[in-house]
Amino acid sequence: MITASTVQLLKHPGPVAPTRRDVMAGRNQKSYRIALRRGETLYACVTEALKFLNLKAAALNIEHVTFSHISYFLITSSPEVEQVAHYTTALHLDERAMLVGAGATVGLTDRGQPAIHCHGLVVTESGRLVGGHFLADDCVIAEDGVAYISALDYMDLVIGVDPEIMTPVFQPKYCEA
Amino acid sequence: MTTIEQGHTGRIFYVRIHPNEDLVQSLEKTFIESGLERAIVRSSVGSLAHCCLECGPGKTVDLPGPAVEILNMNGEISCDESGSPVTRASGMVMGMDGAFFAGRFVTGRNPACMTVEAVIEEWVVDQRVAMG
Repeated sequence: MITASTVQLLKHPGPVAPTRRDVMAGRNQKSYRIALRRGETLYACVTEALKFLNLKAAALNIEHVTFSHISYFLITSSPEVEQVAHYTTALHLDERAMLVGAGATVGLTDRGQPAIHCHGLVVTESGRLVGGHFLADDCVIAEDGVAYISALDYMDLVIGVDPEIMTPVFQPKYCEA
Repeated sequence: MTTIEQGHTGRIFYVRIHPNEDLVQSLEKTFIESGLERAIVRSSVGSLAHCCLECGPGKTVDLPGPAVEILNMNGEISCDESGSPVTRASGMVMGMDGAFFAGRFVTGRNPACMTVEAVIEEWVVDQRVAMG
């Protein structure tokens, strides 16, 4: 922790894109409350609901859930890697942990499979905090939970390599009605 | 006197913030450009090149990057008396050393690292009712 008077900006490896902010607007979008079922993965619960609802993109708010296992990445940087930051190898927490908070977006991979970009923080039964980039397909639910889905069905949200940061991220585009 | 607003959500906006662009200012630019009067910050996920959180009156904490992970964010954007947007969005982040911090994101001091995704939803007031 530092107290800084200046704010650090970064030089990424690729050319700076002229667009600095993408804004996609929808109207009369629907919201859904879904169950996160014990024994299933977070990925399975969310993607099965989206498939049933015929949604390809959504914002996800997880209200409460307890996991029996989570896998996650931390973020780091190293001089050997061109990108300014990158994820570690997967870490695993193999004990019950209750969600404290999370943020997530759901879209598609470049192969058309559902993808969840989810960051979150959990607390174990001993009070230890664990957080990072959750690997939703290896986050197993221990107790039923609830999440709300805000449909973003006016747009395609597909993972692609951003030329500026040279890292795959969601690339939003309006889709045909 | 306390006022209760009866209303409903309207338009919903997905905002992707590119590297080095400020989180709070990007949300406020979207708010102005879209002609919003009030908005709810629904969710956010991404990383910051530098993070500054307000933890109390006049108290802030600065976290060095290059990548501070946003773990969640919620809040509201409204207008002050002069009509300028004011964002009150708080959340939890994880520093490069793995430590966790929480607070309100300070305007102009939270540039995006790789990407920040945020979803904001318009709050449309139908009726204001004064209590008491």
